[in-house]
Amino acid sequence: MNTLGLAWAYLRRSALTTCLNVALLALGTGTIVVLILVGTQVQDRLAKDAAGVDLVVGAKGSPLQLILSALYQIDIPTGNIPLAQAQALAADPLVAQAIPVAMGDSFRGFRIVGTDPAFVALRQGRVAEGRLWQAPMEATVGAQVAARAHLKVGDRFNGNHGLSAGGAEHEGMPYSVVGILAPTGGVIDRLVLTPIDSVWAVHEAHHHHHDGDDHDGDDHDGHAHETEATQPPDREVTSVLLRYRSPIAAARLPRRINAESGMQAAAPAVEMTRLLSLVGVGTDTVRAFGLLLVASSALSIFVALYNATQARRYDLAVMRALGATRSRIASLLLAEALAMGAAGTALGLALGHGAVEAAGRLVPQARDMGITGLQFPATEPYLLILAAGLSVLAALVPAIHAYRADVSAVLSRG
Amino acid sequence: MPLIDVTGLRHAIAGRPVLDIPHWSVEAGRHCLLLGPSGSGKTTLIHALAGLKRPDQGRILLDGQAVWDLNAAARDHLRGRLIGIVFQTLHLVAALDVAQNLHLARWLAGLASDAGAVAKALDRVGLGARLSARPDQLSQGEKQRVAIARAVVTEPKLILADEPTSALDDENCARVLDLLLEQAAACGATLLVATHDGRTRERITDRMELPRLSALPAEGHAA
Repeated sequence: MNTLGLAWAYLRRSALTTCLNVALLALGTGTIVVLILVGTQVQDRLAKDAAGVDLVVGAKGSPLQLILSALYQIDIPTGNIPLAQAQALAADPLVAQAIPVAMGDSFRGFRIVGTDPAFVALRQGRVAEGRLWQAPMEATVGAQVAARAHLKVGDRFNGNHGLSAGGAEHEGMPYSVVGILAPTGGVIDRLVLTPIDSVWAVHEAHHHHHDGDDHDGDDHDGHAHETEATQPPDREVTSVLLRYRSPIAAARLPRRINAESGMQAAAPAVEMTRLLSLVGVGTDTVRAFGLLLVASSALSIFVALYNATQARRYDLAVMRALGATRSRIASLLLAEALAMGAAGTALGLALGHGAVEAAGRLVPQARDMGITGLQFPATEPYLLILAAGLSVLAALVPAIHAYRADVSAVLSRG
Repeated sequence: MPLIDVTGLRHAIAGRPVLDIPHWSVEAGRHCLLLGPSGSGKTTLIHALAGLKRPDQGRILLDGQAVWDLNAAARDHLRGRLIGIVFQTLHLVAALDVAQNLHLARWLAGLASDAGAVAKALDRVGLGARLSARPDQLSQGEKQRVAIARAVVTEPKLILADEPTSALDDENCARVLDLLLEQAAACGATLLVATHDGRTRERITDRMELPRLSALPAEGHAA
């Protein structure tokens, strides 16, 4: 016999109440765990995909849209910018590196991105098989593209018009797969990479082929070739990813581009902070709901223990008569609360991690982002401390009540 | 040296005197009846002896130790080690089985877990086969025997029994008294039985008569 054994006997005696309290705490803890896990991994992912890029320059429009489309490939581009201006940026003494990006087509929903090989290094990509592209119409594909589309080195495929699946196929201009990248867990896994020349070549052929067509049904938003029909000699790119040469560039370059050119400059750090603060309202609400569940369970444990001290006052008095000290009686109630708290938190952690892991395996979008439940953020131990603290708080009043009970009076009343 | 030595004990409840004992002592190994009508302070005396109810005045020595000079924790330890109590309402802990109720008593008394001692105590009251029975599966008589086994499983020097026979018929009254005397003898304990039940007089000859000092107290007060 010991305090925990006795606490367990009492908890088992009121199994339904115990289970309800544990379930309530588990739901609250699980909700918070899911938010922490997904939030941490999405933020890590966003930071990873933005690494090495200080500024994105593209067509005027929403700066957030520019960042989302150029860095994360999850929105349509704001438009295109003249190649000449992009090249001028690359030559700017404030710029250490400028990587042009041209988009407009896709293959089975995966975006085809015309860019330099430096793009792969920027994204910390590594060739797993074959090599990087060298000539127009050569393509090196990300790991997910290869896996989902069953592509291997030597395969050929046609791109589709537009950035989402279902666009018209560019027949007669097939890409040749020359390499497959190793998985990175980043956005590059979902891209088909090719020289910018390929993008221009495909769209020049496309416009030549459709000359005189009214383009009904084609979604031309943000296509690198959008203005090519009217200005064929002026090549365009969708955006340029810039790295500053020195910190002073951060103060000068964006302002200069936005004020003095027809282009737009957006800093990933600023836009992502804005995005996360917008998304944060939603996650804060869910987190508050999770905390509310945890607080409700603490209240429920308090009510259960308070009622238990009333129902068990004769038990507790008899224990005192058998030699139990006041502190032993109080520690019994604390042990019951802590046992419920520990069980609820453990179950909540298991549920939260299990749910995220299941989502990471079963939900395609989560799988693409590399979401996993097998990650244990450093903030999780605080959940255990929070649950233990709330449990102790819930047991405090009943424990003090039991501590101060007049044993003689209780025993006399029978 | 007497096991119980009470001097100048006085106690009142809500201004109503319930105890006034100039001097009273019980030698170790003797058995004693604490007789008196309802409201005569028997339960109050039992609780005062056990360190559960502080008397207004007086000194209680238990095995040579002044009970009310000790701090609360030391008093609890003394009670656990020295005294076994049989309550009128028996009150076994319903969340525990029979054996666990006895283990609980040993644990609270600060004794090491001893399954042999628990089994032996239950054997002595004829319940060796009901170790894992729950209190709600026992008859009233069986509960009474478990309560007595729980009181002696710590091998106390003093067994306090508060009205152990008041709700029993003659046959069961005699059986319970015999059992209490047997168990007290088995562990060499002094037995103090607080009762207003005249049927107990034949079996225990030493007695302490407590007069009712005033009118009956309001319901709920220890007296």
